[in-house]
Amino acid sequence: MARNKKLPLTETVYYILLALLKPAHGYVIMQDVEDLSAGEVRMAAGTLYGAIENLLKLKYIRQVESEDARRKVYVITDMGRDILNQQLSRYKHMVDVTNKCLGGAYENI
Amino acid sequence: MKTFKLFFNPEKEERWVNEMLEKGFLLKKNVFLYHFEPTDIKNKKIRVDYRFFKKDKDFNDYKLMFEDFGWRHIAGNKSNGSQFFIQTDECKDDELFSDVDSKLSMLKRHLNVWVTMALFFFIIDGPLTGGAFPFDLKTLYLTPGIWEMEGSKFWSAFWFETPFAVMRGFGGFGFFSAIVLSIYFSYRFTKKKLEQENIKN
Repeated sequence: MARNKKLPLTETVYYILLALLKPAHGYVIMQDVEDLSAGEVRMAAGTLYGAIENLLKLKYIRQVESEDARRKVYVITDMGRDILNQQLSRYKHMVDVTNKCLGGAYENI
Repeated sequence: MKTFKLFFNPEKEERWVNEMLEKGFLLKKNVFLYHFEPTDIKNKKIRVDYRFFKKDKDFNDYKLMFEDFGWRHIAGNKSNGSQFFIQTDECKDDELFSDVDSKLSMLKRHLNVWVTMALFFFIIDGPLTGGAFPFDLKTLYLTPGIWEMEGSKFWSAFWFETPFAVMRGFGGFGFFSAIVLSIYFSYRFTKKKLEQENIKN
């Protein structure tokens, strides 16, 4: 099986896609990413703006109409969901295989 | 207050604008000249991003998003690249970029503009310089009798004239290539610096 060259997603991109399972604009995305990552990932304005631009180009997210006429609102696409699932399978495998190698004692690393 | 200053490095430009703020002057406009106005704002950081916009709507959305993050847009219009933001009291960040890649892409966008400019001059230079390049390189050297000189006399005259010959032959292209090279090397320098800092963290 050919490995998808778009993977792995970076931690930030993964969380942005997760956040965009429901429609959101820039600042809300940042807040959601911070919550989802338990405070680990805090994105600055310019970094998030560039990330959104890239994800639009990759067609993982798209712009949607919203009540807020001034702010652009985005949501994940089918392609975005697909790549998110592929990444998830990878993570699952990595967790499983790590557990196996460590005899289920991964807390003890 | 209006000042003319030329920067080929967005980071140096940013540093300078912050120094002006420390002296009590806030940047208002940066079209052709830098316009400063006296200000009471203290202990706030100004940060620069480099972006162009085709549509007003995109530009407004961009500024509004940064405003949501606590950055007030103070200078830069939709088609001149450098976008200046100043921290407000609500701002929780010190920087516009929270990772190395996005900071480097900003510097790359700046570099690309100059590369485009150099390529543009490469295309129009032929007609401009009467097609001197690349037909007879010798005619680019104007020192009388240079090609009849010998030994060290020839070489010193040759090396002295070469930069001028390059300018003559390539015209604007030579000029812009020099700028591109200097921006490229400062980009490489920053890249290395940021990557090393990143490893340490």
